[in-house]
Amino acid sequence: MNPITRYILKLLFIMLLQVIVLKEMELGAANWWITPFVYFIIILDLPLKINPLLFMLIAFSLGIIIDMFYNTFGMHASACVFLAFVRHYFVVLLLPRDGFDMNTTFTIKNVGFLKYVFYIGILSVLYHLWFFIFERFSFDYFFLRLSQALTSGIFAILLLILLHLAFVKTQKN
Amino acid sequence: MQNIFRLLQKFQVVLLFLLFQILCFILLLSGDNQYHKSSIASSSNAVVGTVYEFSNSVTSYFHLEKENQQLVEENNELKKQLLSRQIQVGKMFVRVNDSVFYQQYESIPSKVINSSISFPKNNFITLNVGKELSVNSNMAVIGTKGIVGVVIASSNSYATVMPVINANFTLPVRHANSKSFGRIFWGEDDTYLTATVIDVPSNVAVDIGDLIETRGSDGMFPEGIPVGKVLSVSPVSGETYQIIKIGLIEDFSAIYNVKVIKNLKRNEQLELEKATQEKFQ
Repeated sequence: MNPITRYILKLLFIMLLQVIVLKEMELGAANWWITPFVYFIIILDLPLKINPLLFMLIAFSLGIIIDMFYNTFGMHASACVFLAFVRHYFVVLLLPRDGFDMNTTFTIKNVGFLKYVFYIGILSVLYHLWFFIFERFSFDYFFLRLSQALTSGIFAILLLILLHLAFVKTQKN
Repeated sequence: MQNIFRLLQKFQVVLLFLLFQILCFILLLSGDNQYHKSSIASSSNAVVGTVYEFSNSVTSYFHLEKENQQLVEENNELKKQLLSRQIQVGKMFVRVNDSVFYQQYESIPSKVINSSISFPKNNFITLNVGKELSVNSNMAVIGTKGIVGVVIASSNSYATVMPVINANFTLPVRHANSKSFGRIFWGEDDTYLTATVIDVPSNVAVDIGDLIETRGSDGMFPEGIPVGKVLSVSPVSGETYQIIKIGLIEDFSAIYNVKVIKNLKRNEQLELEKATQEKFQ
């Protein structure tokens, strides 16, 4: 399958999962702690060597689309742009010193499971933290927001790993 | 020019980030969400307030001299008011036993300017209050511990008091424990420290050290003002009363601060009693 087609298929699937399944998910009291967003994996799956302008534009438009579904007026867009900004500098720290093809993407196959989980884990928590703070628009109760971001971020990682495993399995079959 | 482009390229990610964040911010404010708008308004108010506070904390030093001048003037003004207030307090009656519905007694503080404790002469006390402060005869005088006497005459600025240690003095008093009443007078064998109480019935058990207080039936003294403590009790043969020697609570040899008590209802009481007596004569 053409990587671009595959990417677009994944994009559609993840977006639909986000706005149809996860948005309507009711966890009762846990809703306060767990507000999972997984769609940002699409931004993280983009190739490492990408034009920053294009990268940010994709992130921004993705955030705007999610904002339209969630009625959040630029909050997700802001968090996505922040995510793209952080990834641009963060990913360099995780890469092997040499022998890594910058044209590929950051996947489990390329960098190994632990590094990949670390990569999406950090970025997922940062994404949620930025989003929660931007949503409240103040730094009051920072540690509460941080813990909310931690629980939501960890939940998102688990969900993403599950999704990944499911995709890998179906591909092998 | 080329350097500028190079610089822009170097920081292009940061610049793009800021640009997009500003875009998101504009989006956020353009939407119909009151929460963020009010939140931004309040935080901008906080910023303005902080700046204003800081500038005020700096500029306030320049006004210190003026402020000091104002404070000195205000202090002088207040001091003037305070002085006149003090005089006024002395001229006004201070209310005792006050309530919204019924006020029976008023009191005025005064000082003893002349007194004597000689025996067997009739002693008098002179106070520094008079008719100007509406002190008239038949007003009660109370010291810091107990009763002193009764005003018998007053001029414009002075009043003379007949104290307990005067042979003409007599007053209804009562035994504080049993409320049996009698009369106090200054007998021939009394010194300035003692007085005699008669008319307390002999069946009333009066112990040494019991308190004798005013009865209040005369319309001059409030009831329950301490008079003295029982020194000795002696029955009188052939009479139904006992003679009680009391030690006066007020120290007449060192009397200085006293209060003049005015009973606002005294005339009413006396008139009623007089009218009642006339009815039965």
